[in-house]
Amino acid sequence: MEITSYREIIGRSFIESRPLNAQWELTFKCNHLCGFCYNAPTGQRELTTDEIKRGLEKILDLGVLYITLTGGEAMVRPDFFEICEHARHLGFALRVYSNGYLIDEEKARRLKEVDTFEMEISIHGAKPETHDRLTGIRGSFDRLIAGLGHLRKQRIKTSLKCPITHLNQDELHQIWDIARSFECSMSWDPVIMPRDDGDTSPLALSANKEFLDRFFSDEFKLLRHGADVEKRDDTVTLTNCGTGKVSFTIDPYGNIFPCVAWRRKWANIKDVENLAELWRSSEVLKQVRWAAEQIPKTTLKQAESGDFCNFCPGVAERQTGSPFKMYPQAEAVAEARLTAYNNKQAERTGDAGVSPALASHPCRRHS
Amino acid sequence: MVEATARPRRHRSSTTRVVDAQAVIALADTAMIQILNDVGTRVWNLIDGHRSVQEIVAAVRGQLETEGYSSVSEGLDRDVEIFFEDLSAHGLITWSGAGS
Repeated sequence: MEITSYREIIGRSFIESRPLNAQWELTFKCNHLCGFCYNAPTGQRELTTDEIKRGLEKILDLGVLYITLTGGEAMVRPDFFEICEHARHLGFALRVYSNGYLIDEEKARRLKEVDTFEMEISIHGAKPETHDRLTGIRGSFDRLIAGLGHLRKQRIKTSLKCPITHLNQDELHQIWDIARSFECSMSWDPVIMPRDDGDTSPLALSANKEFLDRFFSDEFKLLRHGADVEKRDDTVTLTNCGTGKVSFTIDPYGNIFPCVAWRRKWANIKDVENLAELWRSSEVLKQVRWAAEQIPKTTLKQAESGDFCNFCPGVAERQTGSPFKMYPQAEAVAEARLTAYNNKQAERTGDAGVSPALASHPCRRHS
Repeated sequence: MVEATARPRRHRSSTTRVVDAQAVIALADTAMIQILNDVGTRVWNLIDGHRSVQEIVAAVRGQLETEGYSSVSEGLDRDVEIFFEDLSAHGLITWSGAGS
């Protein structure tokens, strides 16, 4: 049957486990000190330029469309543009995740020259004091804003993303205004993750519950691109998420994982001979795909707010020891989404808008 | 109006992957994704900056007739011309040779 939209391509990739994107963490080095960062460097030697280039060549066989370069801060690598050029030479579409700090006029021009398909830039506040506090670097907000100006001048598609913390939760509308002023799309992440080594200290920065309830209400509807909270719909993809299916992640040491959040190594790019074959035969990938398919039928089905839960088995495994076990951040966001959904339903039916008795719902048992 | 002797070239910022015999094209210059149907993909695969429009049409016609799709090849010239205009309008190709 003929495909007519990119959404269908993604849907088919979910079903057939055909990767569209390879996310490569080029380095864990970073010029920021974000307290909520999930990276956990081990001190191993990071890959050389040649090792990365050879790795990109190995990925070709998988038919991946995008290479997404990230970090740490990918742009701190002196060979960053050499790697970009090689990725483009091999015919990948190029996406770059960055904190924007290093994007001056010259870097923006070079990003355009290598035909960057999309930049995704992190923003942590609408004011210098908030952004700089979260990045730990004085002046980082001003550098970010300057970088956005340079990207806009080069007409490079740029998206902003904001991990919501209790320090920036009251500035989201102003952050939205900044995104609009630079003609950027905007996305929000209300879930802070533990570090990759299991350290949960970043969670202390999470947005508070009262704010999450507001975030999914009409007060923030515009920032959610006008969307009402809806139930999950897994009927097309038949899976919780795309882990091990539509994408994979490579860390700075060459280890390959099913996705950025689930750090179950299934290969190392330096050692693997036939990546396409291993993508099909890896027992680790079979396990994570199976788990992703089971989660809607188990973990989410058992939770009252499961229909509203963006559950990450990688975070669950890191935080609870099991990829099937509910963890507090997912639970808190799911509850907030359920409350918003029920309030909306009550509004529509002319009910008094009573929220559900969340205090007793099953998700609560895990917290 | 597309001239038969003009030679289309894929935009340098384009990336192509073929999924189930359909080309998925990511164009960095406009940050757009385009998906082509079967005949469009055949045409796209022949665009190399050297072949002219008429050469591409002839090659696609040959492919279709060999595969038993003679009815599809009827009116192919006009369909491909419209297709090239569309590709051009979306910035996916540039022209050399006689121009367009």
